[in-house]
Amino acid sequence: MHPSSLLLDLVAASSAILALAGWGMVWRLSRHTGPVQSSTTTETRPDDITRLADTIPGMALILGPMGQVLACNAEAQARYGDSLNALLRHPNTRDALNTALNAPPAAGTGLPAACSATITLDVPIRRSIRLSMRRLAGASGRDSLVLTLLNDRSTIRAVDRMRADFVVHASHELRTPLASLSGFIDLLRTDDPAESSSRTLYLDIMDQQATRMQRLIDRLLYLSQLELNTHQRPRDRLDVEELFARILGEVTPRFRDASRQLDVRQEEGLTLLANEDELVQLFLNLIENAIRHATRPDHPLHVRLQARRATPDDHPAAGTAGILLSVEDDGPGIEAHHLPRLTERFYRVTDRPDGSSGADQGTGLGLAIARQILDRHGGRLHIESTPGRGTACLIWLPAALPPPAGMQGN
Amino acid sequence: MVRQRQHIVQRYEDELLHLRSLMEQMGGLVEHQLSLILAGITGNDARTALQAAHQDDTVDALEHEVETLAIRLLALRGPMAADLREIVACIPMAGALERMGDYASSIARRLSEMEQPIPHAARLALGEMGRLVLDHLRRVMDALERKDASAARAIWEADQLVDQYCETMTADSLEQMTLHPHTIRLHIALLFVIRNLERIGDHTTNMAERVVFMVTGAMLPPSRPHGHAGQEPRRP
Repeated sequence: MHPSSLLLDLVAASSAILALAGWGMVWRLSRHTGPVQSSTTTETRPDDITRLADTIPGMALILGPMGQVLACNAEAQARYGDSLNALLRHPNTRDALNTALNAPPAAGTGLPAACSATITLDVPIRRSIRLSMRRLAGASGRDSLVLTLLNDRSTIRAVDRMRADFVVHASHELRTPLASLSGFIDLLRTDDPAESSSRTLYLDIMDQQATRMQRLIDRLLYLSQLELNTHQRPRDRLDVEELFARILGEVTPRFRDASRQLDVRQEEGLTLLANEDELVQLFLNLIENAIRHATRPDHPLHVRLQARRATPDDHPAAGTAGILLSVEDDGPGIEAHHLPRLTERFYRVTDRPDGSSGADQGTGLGLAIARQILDRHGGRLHIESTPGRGTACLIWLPAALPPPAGMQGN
Repeated sequence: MVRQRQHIVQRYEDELLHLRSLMEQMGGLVEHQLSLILAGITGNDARTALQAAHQDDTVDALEHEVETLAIRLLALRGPMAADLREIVACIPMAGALERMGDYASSIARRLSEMEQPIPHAARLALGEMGRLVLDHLRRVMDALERKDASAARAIWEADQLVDQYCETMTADSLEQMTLHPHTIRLHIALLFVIRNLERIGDHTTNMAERVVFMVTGAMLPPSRPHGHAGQEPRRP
């Protein structure tokens, strides 16, 4: 930006502040919270407050004395649109707001003291946000205005958490295969060297366990990496056709023999805002699950990959607008009471209807990874299943808007 | 005369804003309580969880304040239509939040009284269930603030997930008790925690019903979908 235009902006902002301070401010302030506006008052919001918020380079809000949002600039809306209400009703925010409202003007500058708070939100994704607040001088009582700046601290917190989580999960989940490995090492030591058949068996099992540990560590690392990026929404445009072409390239070799069939259906012209590698990974995990649990020898497995626009008739948990992607199979299915817990880390269904488990057991992280990827994309995963008939994994993702023409980019 | 009228309208709107602000504060506090419990469960840190119990008095005081203000608005201002529904709905919603706060404190105390650490698998599951319940509460509070009936309805329907969690986790705990009798005390405490989380979920659906009523004036059917109901997969 050219320096002189920046200067102009600053002049505009300060004149806005002066204007606010000078007027008696008898306007009715309607409430503005996120994308949906409350409609109890129909009078317009004062332009100056909006302009002031828009001028600030960074995430900024202007709050009224009861914590109501009078203005929210585009940066704050883009980043925290879905968490703004939760952020503002948090007790730490309320405490900071009360302190800011009652801060007396400082002797020298006449400016009320600034105050701040750090808020951690657990849902929908883990976020840590630092708020700084200052009451604008000049207005008081019911006309008070509090300028609020937001700073994201999620990454710093996420690194700490990631380390802690990794250590906890790795130490618990690696214990079992490690115990099995050392058990077989002991056996090999004491075993009669003449019996080579049992040696091969032991070594096979040890090899399996080592592979399992390797895969577990890879997946845990991948999951940690995803967690670090959770609070950054992908901004790349991705055509579903392109995505499906890549997925097909990866899985076709597994559908070569007659016991498995893959069927793809997609509407044209679907575009997502998404990270391609992550979505490919997500679908590979789902397809992998379908293949792993298909255990009916006489019955070929059908997997259907589908993409279409969501409609209002769709399951509310899956989302009613946006794009619905799905992976369906006609495998053994899963009992209903397991469904909500499938995306839990290390949750494994132990009482599958067909009695499968054990040998080809997954890491218990595939669906946890899927959910983590969807969290970052602002999407949702909904699993439906009927034992004996099959499982459907529905993935709902917001559609990418057509590229804005002439609008300021965010 | 006009000035005075304007003054009265302004007072009324301020009081309505204040009522909403109180509801938001209550919701924020209960969400915070649940967050503390979650941190306590996943971080194996009972002291953090216990902070949730200390906030109970504030929640109770806020409920009282909501009730007083709502009654005052009804008695003195004669609100109509949407405003009337909103004010009336606030009273049971504040009651629901107060109950949730009680359950949260009770969970916090259970956690702090546990003599054995919660096993890894149960801790993960409990953390997930807690996150689910907290997410539902967040969504219902957002629906209330944004006056979004369809969002509220979605939560009302999603509560069966919480019920299913409760069911599988109860089964897990019972199995552990039969297998390892020395963990019975621990698992009984866990069962109470699971049950209380499930009750918090129930009160979230009660709130969702009130939000739908507040926005549309219509009541939802008395029986809500439940975890036991057969699930027919809807093919896309």
